[in-house]
Amino acid sequence: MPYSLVIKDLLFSWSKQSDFVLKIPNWQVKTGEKVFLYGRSGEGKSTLLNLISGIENRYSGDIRVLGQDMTTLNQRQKDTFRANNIGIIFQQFNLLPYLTAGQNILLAQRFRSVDKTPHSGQLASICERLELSNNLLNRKAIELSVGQQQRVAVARALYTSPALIIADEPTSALDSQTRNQFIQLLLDCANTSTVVFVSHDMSLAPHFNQQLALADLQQPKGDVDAA
Amino acid sequence: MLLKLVLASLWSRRVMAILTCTSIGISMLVLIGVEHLRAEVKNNFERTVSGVDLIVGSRTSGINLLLFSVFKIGNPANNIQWKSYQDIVTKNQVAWSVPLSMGDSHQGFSVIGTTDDYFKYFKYGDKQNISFVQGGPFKRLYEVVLGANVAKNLGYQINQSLVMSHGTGNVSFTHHDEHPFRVVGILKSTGTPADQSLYIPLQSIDILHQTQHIHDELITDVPLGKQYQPQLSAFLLGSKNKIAILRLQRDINQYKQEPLSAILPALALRELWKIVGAVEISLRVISWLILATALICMTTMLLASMKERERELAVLRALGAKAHIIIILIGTEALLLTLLGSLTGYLLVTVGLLIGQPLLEHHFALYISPYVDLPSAGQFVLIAACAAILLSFIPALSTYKKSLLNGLKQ
Repeated sequence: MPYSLVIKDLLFSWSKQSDFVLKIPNWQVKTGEKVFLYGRSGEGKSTLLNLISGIENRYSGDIRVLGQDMTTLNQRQKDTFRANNIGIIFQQFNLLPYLTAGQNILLAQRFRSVDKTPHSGQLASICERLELSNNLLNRKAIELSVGQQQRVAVARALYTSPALIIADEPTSALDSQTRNQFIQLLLDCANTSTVVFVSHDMSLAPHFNQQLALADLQQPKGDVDAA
Repeated sequence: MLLKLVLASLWSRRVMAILTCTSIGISMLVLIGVEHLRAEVKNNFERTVSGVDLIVGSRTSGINLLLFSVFKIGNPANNIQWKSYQDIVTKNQVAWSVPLSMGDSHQGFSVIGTTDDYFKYFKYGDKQNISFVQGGPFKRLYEVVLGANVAKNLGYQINQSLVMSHGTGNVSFTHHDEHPFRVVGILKSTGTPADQSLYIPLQSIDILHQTQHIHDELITDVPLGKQYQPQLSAFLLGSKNKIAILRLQRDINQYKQEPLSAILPALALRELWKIVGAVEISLRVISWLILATALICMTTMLLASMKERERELAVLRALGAKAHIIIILIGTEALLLTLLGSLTGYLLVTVGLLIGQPLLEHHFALYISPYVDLPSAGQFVLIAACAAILLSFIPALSTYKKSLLNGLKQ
């Protein structure tokens, strides 16, 4: 499977009256690539994320994720597909505050249709790389610092070894030094997974081997397939 | 796992959850308690008298007559002349009669003057006869038979001697110290006001009331057969055939020599129950309203938590949860709170009854079982649970819709 993500003639708008339109004629992301997608606020980054992860359905055109044509799936199948194949990291508030960090990570398996058994070995190795101590894992998510919470969120996104990881401004709550460490950690741990990192902070772009702007993707002409 | 999520989430809001549970618990306490008391009191009511066709007293309301003759509450307006009694009981429709003379007490328990026919004909519950745990009916003047609670509460034994006093108060000014009575029988518990009385021969009452007593003539072994002409408070009648009852009742109500009232116990009980029933309906309406308030409070609490919930839902959705998970989560939470609240209410009722039951029995001769009938309580819990789930749709559906519209936008 050469491409993790293929988008063709995508057109999205909130409603007929709405002047907000997201239009992507053609975009492909190769498997294993780490893509930085630059977008200003209000340009539709979150909408794109919802479209790729199969939560938003009001669109026309083709979206293929990991070879799967999303248009052919119903909502249930999309939800299960997401649980099985996609890891998502938010801006902030990634964790359920009343569960412990460890329980939050294990939650990644809850909604999967395949392989629901916990892998303690895998969990241990991820946590070790992300420097999540046992003590920290046993604490309630709400007691953790933002940086710790983001690392737990990464651990959860990686735990099920998803083929595609989508990160939506996950560094916005971190200071610049922690930010760079965080991204490096994320990319190191992601291994062969494809990563789409959406952010408005251009200074993060150098960490990735491919950089794009959402505005460019929306151009009707021109070669945006940077690969 | 979902249940674990709900529990953890509730635990993080435990103060609110406990308060909500308590308010539901209190409303359940009232609801279950009122229903239980109603059922038990009604049961008690219906058990108090059975197998008696007519109760006769001097002219008064049916309820009053019933209250003092059966429940030992209140006093007769007037006494019945011995002659009237003789007149009526010799009518040929009358199968049996039991005279009752009230107005005396012993340690706060009422003393009833009657004949040994009382033990033969007075029935309770489902036409059950009164039976003796120890001894038997009185045969002589200075003998007394004790109701079950009298013997239990005062610790009296068979053959013990006791002293009667005049008047119904706990403290009496005229003690008839001179006439000790010997306990010859103790009745089996019936769960009716009959347990709260002492029974002595009718003639003995008469002697108790004569201050100038024939002390010398007094032998403690005067047999019962000797003729006295005491005044009666009421008497119970059994008729030879059921058809004759109404006629007998009319004859007594129109008795020329003295104004008398005759009542059918079952009808009077029903009449009395109607009065209690009105109170019961208003109590029931109030308890339903309390429950409604508690459930609405719960919904408010759930609504208040929805902002937080929207973000939780986004996290769960990102992990692959279906959008309707929020409905399940909130519904489970509402159900859990209601069930916990109901359990609290049920336990409160049981504990309350365990504490209150001896008091009720002692003071009102009401035997209320401390164990609530589970099916009837379950019925309320079921209704509350359904209402809770329906109400939980209010916050859940709005968040569900919002989540479909906004996706993972936080």
